[in-house]
Amino acid sequence: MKPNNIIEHYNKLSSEAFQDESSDNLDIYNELGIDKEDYLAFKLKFVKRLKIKIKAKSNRLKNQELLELALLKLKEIIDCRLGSTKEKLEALISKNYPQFQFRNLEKLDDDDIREALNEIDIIDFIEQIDKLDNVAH
Amino acid sequence: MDRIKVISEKLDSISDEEWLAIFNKLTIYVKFKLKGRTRYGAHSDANLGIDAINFYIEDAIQKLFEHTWDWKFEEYSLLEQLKRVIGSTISENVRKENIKKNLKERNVYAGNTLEIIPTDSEKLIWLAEEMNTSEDSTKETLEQFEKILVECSKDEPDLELLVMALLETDDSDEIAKQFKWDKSKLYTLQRKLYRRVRKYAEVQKIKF
Repeated sequence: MKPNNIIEHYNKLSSEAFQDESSDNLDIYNELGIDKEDYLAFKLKFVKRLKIKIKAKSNRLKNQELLELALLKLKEIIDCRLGSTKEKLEALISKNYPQFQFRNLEKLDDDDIREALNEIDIIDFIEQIDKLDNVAH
Repeated sequence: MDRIKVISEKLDSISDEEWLAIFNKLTIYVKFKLKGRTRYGAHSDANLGIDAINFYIEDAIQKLFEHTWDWKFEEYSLLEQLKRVIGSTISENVRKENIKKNLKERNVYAGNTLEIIPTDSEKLIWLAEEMNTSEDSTKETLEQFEKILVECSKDEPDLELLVMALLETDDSDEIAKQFKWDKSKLYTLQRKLYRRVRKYAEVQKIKF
């Protein structure tokens, strides 16, 4: 079919031609006023930085989920469980988690607990609580 | 395994060499897609904050990594998918720019109390942008360009054939088939033609 717009057609074929493996594309980089090697190295760094950023964000989210899980487990024990389990929990906290500063657990609100949880090894804490829970059952 | 995780793993498995090849091709792709349309308007540095090539490439990659755009890896290679994201973002930016332009014009003609009257330089910028849009190339520009192609190919038989074919068909496979050229030869000739046209335009101080 005869092209409607020869400039567009010419640009499209030029684009294909310069994307072909057989081209080093130096003409295009010169035209753009870019040093090809520096530019590509910079772009590679961009991907690496992006990967780190995404990973950090994902870790933050995971950590947030764990924190909420720990909060839930802690509140379950504080609110409804057997008195003996609660005592064991208080003993565990006062012995191993000074971040709670021996405060009366029942007087802590969610934000206080989150703040304290933020400062401890959250996975270890959940494991410890699960052990208490298992003992109680 | 959920889809997001699968895509993340696929993106993580792309090697540095593959990324370099992708960036190289995308740079060429965006350069030609926006040729002559980056000085003013939707694709200008002023509108995008950075130059158009960097903006569209980085934006597309970020969209895939952040999963705001699904990589349909079952259908497209990473390069193909990124080209699709870029194409869509370019169209979206043009659409937004047109809305902005229309709103400004409407405000002027409606005698709106919050009247926004384009300055003379804005009007010139819009006009220049329209003229630079390849879809809107005038008949004279296209005729002038055809003459340049003929002029730049006239001492080399293969280039003459290529230009003749370019003017007659928009199908590059058809061109290669017609002259029994493999794609590599077609591309080599096209690059040669491109260099000549660029040099000619520089000497003659022509922009298109």
